[in-house]
Amino acid sequence: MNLVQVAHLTFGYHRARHTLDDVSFTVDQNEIVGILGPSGSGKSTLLRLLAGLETPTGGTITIAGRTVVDDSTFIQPEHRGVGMVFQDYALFPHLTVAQNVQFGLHALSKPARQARMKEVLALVHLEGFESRYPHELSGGQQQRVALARALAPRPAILLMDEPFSNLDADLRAAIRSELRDILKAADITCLFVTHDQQDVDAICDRSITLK
Amino acid sequence: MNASKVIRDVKKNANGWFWISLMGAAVILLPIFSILASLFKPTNENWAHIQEFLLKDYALQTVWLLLGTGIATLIVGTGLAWLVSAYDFIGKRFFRFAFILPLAIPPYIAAYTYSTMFDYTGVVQKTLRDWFGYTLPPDLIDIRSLPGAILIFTLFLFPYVYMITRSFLERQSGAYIENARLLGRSPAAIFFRVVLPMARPAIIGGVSLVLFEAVSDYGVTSYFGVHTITTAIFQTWFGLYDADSAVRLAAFLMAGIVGAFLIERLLRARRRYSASTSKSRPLVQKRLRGLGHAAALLICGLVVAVSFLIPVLQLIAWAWLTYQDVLTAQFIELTFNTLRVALLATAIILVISTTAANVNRVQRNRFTMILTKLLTAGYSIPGAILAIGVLTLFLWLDQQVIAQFGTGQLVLSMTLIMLIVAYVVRFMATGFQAIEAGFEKIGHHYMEASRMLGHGLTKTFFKVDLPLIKGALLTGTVLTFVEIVKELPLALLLRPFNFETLATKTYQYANDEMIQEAAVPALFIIAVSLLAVAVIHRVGERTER
Repeated sequence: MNLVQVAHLTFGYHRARHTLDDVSFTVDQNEIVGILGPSGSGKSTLLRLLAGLETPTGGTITIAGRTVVDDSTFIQPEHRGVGMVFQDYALFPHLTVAQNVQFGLHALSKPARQARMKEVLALVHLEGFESRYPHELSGGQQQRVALARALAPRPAILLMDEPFSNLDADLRAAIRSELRDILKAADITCLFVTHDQQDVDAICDRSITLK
Repeated sequence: MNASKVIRDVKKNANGWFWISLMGAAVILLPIFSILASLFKPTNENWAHIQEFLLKDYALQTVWLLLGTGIATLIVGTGLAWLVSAYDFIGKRFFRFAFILPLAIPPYIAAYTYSTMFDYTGVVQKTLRDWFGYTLPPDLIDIRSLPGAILIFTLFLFPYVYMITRSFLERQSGAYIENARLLGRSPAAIFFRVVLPMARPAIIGGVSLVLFEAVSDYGVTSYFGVHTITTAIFQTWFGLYDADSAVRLAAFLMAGIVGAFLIERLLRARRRYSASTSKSRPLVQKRLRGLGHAAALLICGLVVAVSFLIPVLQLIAWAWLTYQDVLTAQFIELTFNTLRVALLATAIILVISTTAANVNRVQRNRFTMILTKLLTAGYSIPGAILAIGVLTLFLWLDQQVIAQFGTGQLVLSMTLIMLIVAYVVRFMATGFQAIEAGFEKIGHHYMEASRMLGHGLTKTFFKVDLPLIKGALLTGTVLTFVEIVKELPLALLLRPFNFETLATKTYQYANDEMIQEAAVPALFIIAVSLLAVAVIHRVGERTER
């Protein structure tokens, strides 16, 4: 089943130079798909369009059987059921790790929230870090908190924007394999932006290249 | 773009936040439009008289005042900024801060203080007579004049130029100036050929702030008998009782200001002066020695003395003589009135500007950009003009109310509501810019992350944005509040009957030749303003790091 359908997606401020021009693809349930392309090819824009943080100039996006954007529809980002890990992680600096992870769990009861928080922190191997603040964590730990936070509300799809760009080269290799294990364990569909073919080889089931 | 897309985008963006911003913009635009509308009304017989006998003289004096003040603040402001950023000397850290202190003294207060000090009975002539047996020829020092007004504006407004230029020099210019030094240029050549041209946008920014203050001033010019367009507006209104002509004058002045804005934009065009790399080294300072050192200390000491210490000490001395008579229950009440009204207006400003800044941040399209530009337009409109705009608007509203309900009396005009609306229009920019800077600093990602986690715009604002922009909110509150407390022309024109603020009370005392009594409310205003100076200084230091 196609979980995500993108059809004829176009985005750009100037009519002459579209950042994205007539992009179409599908993603299956539980697939990990890498999006490759040189800088300026609109990789991050594609994620932001899926997330609802930008509005396309044309085309449609369907997620889990629901049209989230076309010429007459726009579902707000908070109602799309999409999770995202930002390039800079965007962990709320005024909240602890536990509060960050529970941030998207407002629909659950308090005990359920606690349980889910413990569960995803265990998934990313960060038990015991609940009361730390983001600035008290290393770069790799911050990234895993961001991943846990995005996974916690069980989104239909997870979007990751250059998740390794802020990490050192040796840390990068170690986290690559770990990330694939986490994503497979979480049973999640993931769209993953990178400019590094090695990332794709290590983590993704297949890749899409933007020009 | 087809119709369904337009409907989709309107639906997407039209939320409570958007409507509040739109209402805010309407409140600000209506008074401005009500002034411009007067340009299309037929003129009356007074107008021909004003045009023939007053306009040319008033326009000319305004130009001289602006030219003199502009050039003088340019020299003093950039000179001092260069001194403290390129050189090191004893007490530099103190002077670096002390040069922004004059901002705490509103020019109208400085004007009363200095003109009284130089009067026949004032401390200067009295000292000369009593101690040195020397009587100044009358009219030798006539501070109540155009040059006097230029002097006052220069002494108390130069910090605007100084602050912006200094922050530019300290942050941006290191590499260029060092290069020029290595190429063997003298300090003077570096200043004129590298520093001045590079700092041009910063300097222009600072000088135009000064010019706005000077052109909208009423306190100094009316006290010194300088005829500017602003005083002409007051005169046609209260002297000739000709509101129509006053509004017309206001419209002309505003058209001139808009024109100046456009010309500046055109001149700047696409040129960029800021370095393309964000990383820049601070300038390495040169240690001053010997004669140069002494000269620097002398100049710095002199500037701080005349632009802050002397007037404040004189005011304290006067206040000491009169505080028992002035500090009555009535005075305390008027102080609380001032603070209450200022606080209320500040709260309204911060709610509207936070809302609008957030809308602009989230939607970032041409419409919201224009919306926020309009929201901050009030600051470039001199207080006197704005007062007239607000008054015409409220009179019109009252006419509608009377026509509808036949009450036969003014419900809104000359009430506190009118004064508060005027404050909101005038000082929206102060609050808005602080909030916008705060939003800019935290960026988009926290907000976006929160929305991706299922929180709407409003919940995101209270749970994420608000805790993160607390500092900016505080800065905006203090700066706006202080601006309102010391504001004179709006309060003077629009206050309800028997309502006084600290500023109008100071003005009233001074105009009744009760300068020593005026010292008490004046010192209150200066004390409150010092709070804003401290905030400005702290914010500046933080961005420098």
